[in-house]
Amino acid sequence: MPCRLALLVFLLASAPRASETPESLVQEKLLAPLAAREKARSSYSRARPPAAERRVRMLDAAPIADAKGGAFVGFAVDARYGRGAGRWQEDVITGCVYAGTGEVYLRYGDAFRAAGVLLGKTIPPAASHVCRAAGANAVVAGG
Amino acid sequence: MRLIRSAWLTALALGSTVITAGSLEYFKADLPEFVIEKLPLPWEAVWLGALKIHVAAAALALPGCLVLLSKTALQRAPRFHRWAGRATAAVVLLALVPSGSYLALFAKGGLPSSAGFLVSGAIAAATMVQAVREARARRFEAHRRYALHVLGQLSVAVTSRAMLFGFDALAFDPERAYLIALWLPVVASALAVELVLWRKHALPSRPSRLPARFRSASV
Repeated sequence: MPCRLALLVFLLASAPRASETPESLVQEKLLAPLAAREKARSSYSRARPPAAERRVRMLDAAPIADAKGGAFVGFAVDARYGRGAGRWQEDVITGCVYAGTGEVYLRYGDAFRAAGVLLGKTIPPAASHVCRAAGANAVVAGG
Repeated sequence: MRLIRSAWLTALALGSTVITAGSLEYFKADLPEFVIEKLPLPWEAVWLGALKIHVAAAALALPGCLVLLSKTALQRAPRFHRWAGRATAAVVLLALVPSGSYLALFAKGGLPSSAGFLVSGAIAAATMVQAVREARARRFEAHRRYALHVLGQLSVAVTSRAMLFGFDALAFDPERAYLIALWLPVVASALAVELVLWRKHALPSRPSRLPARFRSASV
């Protein structure tokens, strides 16, 4: 019984809540952990300085179906670098979000990978249907 | 002049320590930002291997050069100086420069950036070979000159990062900042070494506390 209860709690916690929009999913699963990670890192490095601020733009007004029946929405992230007003750079991150499952994918090289790749996890490229409209050869999200 | 020398060497030692501490990230399971922004790359495992060799070699080479500058060590333990020199030369020539040259091919900033790293590596390697040859020939004045050029190029790791930190604070364009923070220390270090040696010869020097046979080997 405790096991079933724990499983139920886990499923409820991991499933996307009805109130979660694609934008809030990108914020929660990508931008918030990314900002926290960057805050902890040393500035004395050859790595690009962390962004002072990021904003999400959803690229599709309505969800798009992929070849496996999943519905995704493309997004792009703009980032502001430097102190003070700084400069905004568009499309520093592009990808797609599956609101139904809460999965967030990013364009990384030629393929899409789960959002964890920008958090330092070693993640293989996603399946070829991910972030691509059913029947389309071209990449839709962030393409 | 002595104060400037001490401050400079202390800054290099501190910078080297901070870089080494930051480089521990490269050996953890989660990849650090510098790696994330580079990947994916062709032959990723080779690049990651070269990066690990490079940071480990750098953690030994720069402190090694700083230890070799010690007049006390040279005066009291010349054998230690010789062996530390051989070890540092081996690390620079067999690990630091080869791994750095491979990493340079994929440097952020494209061709100008790659060229900057390759020029720095070439100066470090060529002057290290010459430094060893001059030491073996007991031409300590020339040995010192070439060894200082090696240190000059290794110090680019510290000064370059310090400049990037400053450029970020000034909200300077990151791509341009990266190139300036690379080329300026590479060229300035080489010129500074020649300037310091020229001044030392041009100005009357104070009497040295070193025995005559090592006098020309100290900085």
